[in-house]
Amino acid sequence: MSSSMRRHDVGRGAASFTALPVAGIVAITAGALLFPMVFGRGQLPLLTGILMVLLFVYAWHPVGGVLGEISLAHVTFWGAGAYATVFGQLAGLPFTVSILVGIAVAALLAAVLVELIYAARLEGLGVMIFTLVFLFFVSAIIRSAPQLGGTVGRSVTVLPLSVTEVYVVSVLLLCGLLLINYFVLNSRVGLVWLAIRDAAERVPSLGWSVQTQRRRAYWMTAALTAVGGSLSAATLGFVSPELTLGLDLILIPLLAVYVGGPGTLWGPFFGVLLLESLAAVAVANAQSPAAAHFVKLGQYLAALAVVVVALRLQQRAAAHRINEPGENVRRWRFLGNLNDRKDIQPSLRPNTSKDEAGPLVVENLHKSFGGLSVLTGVSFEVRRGEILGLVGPNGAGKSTVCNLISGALVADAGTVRLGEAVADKMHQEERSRLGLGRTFQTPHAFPSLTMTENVCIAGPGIGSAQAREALIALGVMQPDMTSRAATLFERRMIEMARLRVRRPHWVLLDEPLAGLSAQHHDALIATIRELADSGSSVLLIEHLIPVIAPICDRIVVLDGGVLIAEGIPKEVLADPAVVEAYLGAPIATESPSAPRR
Amino acid sequence: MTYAIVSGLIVSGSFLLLTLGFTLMLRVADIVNLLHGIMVVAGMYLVVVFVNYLGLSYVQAIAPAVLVGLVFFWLLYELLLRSARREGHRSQIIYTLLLFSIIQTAFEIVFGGDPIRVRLDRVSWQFLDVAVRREEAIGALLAVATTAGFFLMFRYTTVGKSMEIAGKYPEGAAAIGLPVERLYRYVWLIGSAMALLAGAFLVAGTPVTPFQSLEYLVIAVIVSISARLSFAGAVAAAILLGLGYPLLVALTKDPQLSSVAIYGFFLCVIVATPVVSGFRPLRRLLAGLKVGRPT
Repeated sequence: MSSSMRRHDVGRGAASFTALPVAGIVAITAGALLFPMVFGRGQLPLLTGILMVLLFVYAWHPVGGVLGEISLAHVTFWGAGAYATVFGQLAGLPFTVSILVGIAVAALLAAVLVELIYAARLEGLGVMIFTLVFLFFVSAIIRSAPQLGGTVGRSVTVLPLSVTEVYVVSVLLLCGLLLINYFVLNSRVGLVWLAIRDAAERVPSLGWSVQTQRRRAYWMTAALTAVGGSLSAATLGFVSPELTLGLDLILIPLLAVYVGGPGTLWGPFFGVLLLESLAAVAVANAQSPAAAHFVKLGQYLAALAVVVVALRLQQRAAAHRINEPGENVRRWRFLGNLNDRKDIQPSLRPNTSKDEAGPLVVENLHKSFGGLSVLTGVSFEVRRGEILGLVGPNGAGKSTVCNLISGALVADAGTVRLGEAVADKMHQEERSRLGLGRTFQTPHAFPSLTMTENVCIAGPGIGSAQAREALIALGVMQPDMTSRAATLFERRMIEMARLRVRRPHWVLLDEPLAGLSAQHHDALIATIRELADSGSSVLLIEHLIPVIAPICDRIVVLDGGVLIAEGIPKEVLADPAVVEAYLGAPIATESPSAPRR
Repeated sequence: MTYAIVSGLIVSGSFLLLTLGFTLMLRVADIVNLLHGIMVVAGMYLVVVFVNYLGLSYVQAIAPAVLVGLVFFWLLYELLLRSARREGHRSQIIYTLLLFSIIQTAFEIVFGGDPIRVRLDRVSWQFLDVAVRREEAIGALLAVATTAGFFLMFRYTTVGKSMEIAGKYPEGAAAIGLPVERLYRYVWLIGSAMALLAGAFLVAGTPVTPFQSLEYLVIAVIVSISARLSFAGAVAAAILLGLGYPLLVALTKDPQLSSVAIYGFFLCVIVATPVVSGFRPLRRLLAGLKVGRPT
């Protein structure tokens, strides 16, 4: 997985597209650097103020906008940089050393924070609140420490940089932050972060650890935010808990990112222009505080109007898509192509060697939820290249078996073997990386990604051309459209396309035909057969026994959490115990060929 | 020390209301209401307006203040927040945060940034040898009564039970004919009324500024998440916060160190809860005692 963390080179075919945002970044940088030469230096303090907000916004955006975790603790990282600068200046340290100290402190704080988030098993709103408490805790520690200036703070008489120097460095740092954001958004890791924002619980099944991605995002953004804080202190020459660690500091960046458009390159920029620039000008030039307040009020109302209109358009687009399945909604956010890794094409993990991986073995699985026993002593084996059907009436425990094998649930007792490896203590992502692939009963696509990108994140080395090809082969004719309003069929095919490009050793299919029309069954069944023929062990969970029986090599039947029959389809379906489980008919005779309850 | 206990108990009453209101909205209707602090401050300002400018007594002003506030926040819900509710927490956070900023700025324009006190009679009651302003005592008693009424409603009324079901399993609730959307509207109104009441009670002892909104919001969210959306947990955490801070200050004589202890405590609670509840021997013990088993 580590190789995939590197930025993927943008394909030659996409080079003309990628030139535009980079040119935009260069143009903004050049324009900002030329501004004081053309218009004089009188407006530099005002511009530097706006630049500070932009620095915070783009340093925070990879976590807040892309990963989707509204971390309020980034104020502490900003504070770490600011305090290090002021105290470094007081101690006579060079400015660069102070910045490095600030980065180190911020990275340490970030490391502690992400491990605490993991320990507390927090997500979404929980992360936001936890980071808020973390911020208040750090702020309270600084307030209670006279050595760090207490509630009053500290100031320096000599600033490390002149006003012009701070402005120039800030512009260059903003340029760097824009480029970093651009590369993140155009890399596979950026797609994974967007997927985590959409549905973190589905990401481990694709082989990505949410916690590892969180660590990377927080460490990176902590360091960047600390540099912004250092520049801010270099401008003001003053730090205090009220000013440097106040919650107010992050409210405008948060709103700017989400009003402008999270997970986009230019959205936060326009968000800042909308929310901050006019107010900054008004505050600087207003004759009375009331006038500035009215400007601020107008800006918030405009931002609210933008958010309301965007939400209504989004809801209308989704409704339109549901009504007209042939249509789709074009995405506005542009992402460059991800290149195919030639060395591992045409599939990520070719499975041609039957000796490469052993069978999928389930031994004596037990699972209860509270007082309800769902599985009791279930054992079976899926051999290489075999399709094993797992059938049973509603509530038999089929999906629980699937979730135990994939690691989404932990068994109370029993063992799952993936080839030679005992998987009991492995996390979902580890099982996936070992070669386990799965689909879900309710198929899911990450709405922030296109359908092609949804397939690309199935593993390292899967390029957009390969993903697109797999989707088209499965009947998805508009693979580059957003999956926000993908139909059930398209969502199902995205999951199948992931398997098609990955070719996992072991495949779990949880009711893949559910909700699909008969005309789609053939394409899907052909793909399942193809997976098995290429050497994958396929566990096929399904209600539609007549449809899957012809392609299954063997069938096992679950009823009430107990395995009641196992064998070739013809024999198993004729078993009276199976008939009883499905129809509730009394058993006249017992089949000698099948295991009994 | 006695003074710290009495003042802590009085503040705890309002904290109960404001944290239970926030927890109710999040737990049942899945609404992240970052307007909650604004609702508290709106309750404070409305009482100030009715008492200082319209000449009502403090007790007379409580009901109209809550009613006016309720109408305003009900309109906000119907016009803006109802559609955002279905779009998940992030949309709700942005909507309510923008509205927070708009209303706070409007308060600054109308009332200015300086603290305003409500005009009260100079009558005090003695409690544990501490003189307590009559209005503060009435507010605390009413807060406790409202909290008790809230729990009784949830435990014994059809509306309360329906709300609980609609919160836990909305699809199931709709399937058995419960008016889920209407129940969420009731939840919003009850939560808003509790926040407005909390503000009406707090203003008897605290001058009001627009900037307090953030402080009250922070209290509500920290308590609610620490209690993992449990009503009983929220009550315990609110009392702990309301009572704990003045007690710690009285003991240590250091408000900053007391803040470190309080925030450190809540950090530990948030981190430790899943670790402790995931501890197998404890889970087995709870299972043996049939605690938390579905009925």
